[in-house]
Formats: sequence, C-alpha cells, structure tokens
Amino acid sequence: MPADASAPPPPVMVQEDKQRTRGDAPIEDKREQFARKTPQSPEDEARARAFIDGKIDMIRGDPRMTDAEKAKAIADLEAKR
Amino acid sequence: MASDSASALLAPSNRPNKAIEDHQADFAALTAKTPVDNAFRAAFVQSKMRLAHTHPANDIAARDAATKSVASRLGADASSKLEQLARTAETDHPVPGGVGYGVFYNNAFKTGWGRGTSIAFDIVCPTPPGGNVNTYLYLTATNRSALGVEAFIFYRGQNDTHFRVFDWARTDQWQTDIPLAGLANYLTPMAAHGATYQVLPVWNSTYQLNATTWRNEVLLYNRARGGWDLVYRFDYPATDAQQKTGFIGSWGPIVETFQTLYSGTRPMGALETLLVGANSTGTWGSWARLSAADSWLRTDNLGFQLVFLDPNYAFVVKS
Repeated sequence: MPADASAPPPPVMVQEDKQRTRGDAPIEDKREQFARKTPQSPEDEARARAFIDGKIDMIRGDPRMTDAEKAKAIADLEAKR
Repeated sequence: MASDSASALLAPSNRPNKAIEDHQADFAALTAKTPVDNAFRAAFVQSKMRLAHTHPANDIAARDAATKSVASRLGADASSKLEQLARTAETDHPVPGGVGYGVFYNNAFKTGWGRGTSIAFDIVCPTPPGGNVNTYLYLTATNRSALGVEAFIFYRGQNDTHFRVFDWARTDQWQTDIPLAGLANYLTPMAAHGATYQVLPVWNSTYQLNATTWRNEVLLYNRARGGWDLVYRFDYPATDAQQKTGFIGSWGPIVETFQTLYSGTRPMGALETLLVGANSTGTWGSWARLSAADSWLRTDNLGFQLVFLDPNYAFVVKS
C-alpha cells in the first residue's frame, strides 16, 4: 500500500534486541477484513454511553485535576454521550 | 479523679480543664443499650482487609503479609471478609471506570505536537485475564489527540475478549470489533524482565490531511508476514483546537477497571510505548519511548501490583 504523504513513519524498535526486531514489510490495507459489517444498534449506543461514563469516572478520580477542570471535562464528555 | 501516677499525662493545653472526671461506667451503660451493628462491624473489618490488599506500594508478598497481619489482629473471620469482598466484586454490576494502573501524559506533552500524533505500543493481554475479573476491563491508550481512537483490548469476564476500536471523532463510535481468537497472526510472544508475555502490537495515529480534514488510523502488526496491517481509517473535519483541548487524549497505556477490587489477575499492561509527533508543517519527528518526564503514573488502589515498570514506556501489573 503506498504511504500517504501525511502519514507518520512506521514505529521503530528502540531496543537492540533480536527478539524485538520486527520485519519492515510494506503496510497492507486490511480494512475490508476488519470493517464493521453491521449498522450501529441501540446496544452500541448503550455501550458507548457506558464507555464514556467510564471516562467520566476516571475524571472524577483524577488526583491532579481541580474541581473546575473536572467539571469542564465532564461536561465535554457528557456532550458526547 | 486522682492521677494514677506522678507522671500522669497532662490534659491538652488548648482548652480550659477544671479536673478529669471518670464517666466510663455511664458510657458503658449507654453502649450496652445500643444494638450491636454487625453489618458495620463486618464492613469495618472488610475495609481494613481491603486497605491491606490494595496498598499500591506493596508487592504481592508484602500484600499477603499485610493482609495476614490485619487478619491476625481482627480475628478468624477477617480472611473470609476479604474473600467475600472479592466475590462481591465478581458479582456486582460494573462499577464505572477507574485506573488499575497506567500512564497519563503531562499537559505540555499532551498538546506538544503540530499536525499529527501517533502511538505504538504492545498491549500485554493475557487470555483469559484470570482472577476475579467478571465485568469489563480495558487495556487501552490514546495517541494524545482529543478526536483520536482507542484501539484496545476489551475483556468481559474470563471468556469474552475482543480487540475493539472506539473512534472519538464519530457519532457511531464503535467500529472494529474482533474476538481475540481471530487475531492469531497479530498476537505474539514478547520477552521482558525475564518473562514472556502475549502481546498485541497496536499503532494508531491522528494527523491532518489538509486545512480542514483530519485522519484517524489503526494498524496491527502482522507477525506472519512481518509488516503492519491497516485495519481502520476515518477522515473527518476538525480544527487544531478541537484536537488539543479537553480530557480525551490524556492517557497513555492504562488498565481501565470496572470493579472495586481485583485479585488473582494475570500479568497485563504495555511494553515499548513509542510516540511521535508531526510539527506545524507536517514533518514527522523521530519515534521515542514515552518518558517519565512527559508523563505520570496513576493507580486507584484496586489491588493491582507492579511486576515491573520501565519509566514510563513499559509496565506490567498483576493482582
């Protein structure tokens, strides 16, 4: 697959370790194989809400954010539900 | 009331004190009239056992020693209270999100990129997760962009493990969804700190195509052919400000939890977390490991213990 001009270069293995060495075969497009075959369902919407609710609770438990930062971040996420 | 000894403790000096009076009998009588709250007593013991079990600074051996020590002080029933807590965690409805262990980006690093950002990491993903996992558990990460994707391992209990893509740029966010059993060409063993782990190498990117259009991409490393496979792509309109504002995009690899306590889970985490950014003209820099200077560690004390940490580009935890 030809690389898009804007795309990042492939990751390099930083560690000099034979076991960690990876091949550098060209990128192949397997989107068709991995693509979702069914339309979004009501269950998907419920799962998405649950997924976002999880992030909201991550914000609530964040030890570094101020109350004001949390309120804004939670409002942003609630808008995505 | 007379002092018991010449060296009796003096009353605190911050309040006036005429003389100490002995009301032990009165209080004992009042206590005797109060019904015994067995539920509270059980919860108290359970809470102390939980504190000992989830202390983040203890390793597994120290944790076990701590719980044994607490149990020895609180009676024979204490150990069963911890087991009861673990069982409750198994059967409870999901408790919304916490962080069992993981890495968050510092603010400057989170926004310190121009027209693109990309992350590659090897998810240490045992199958099954083991222990008392009976609800959801995610092994996930973001690439720093607020409208990027989470390409992650999704556990539901012990026998339902998927690779999923949640795209924050879409309204129909759930996209790729593949049972892990179907990813044999992508799962690979990886050695770290003397042990070998099953990992799924994931690479996801968010970058600007032109003045108004951005792209999200997910690739998996196909070990069978020795190259990356593009598995997901989505182009969408967005602004630079949208990509760099808000909480989304603030976490690197994390173990995202949905139970109050974990026990017996197999080693999980992330190896070789690499990030790269494109500058304001779109030129990509060099891949570099996530450093301790650019990130911080979070644990919500849910029972996960570090097996190892390479600050902060690799960690493995178990419970």
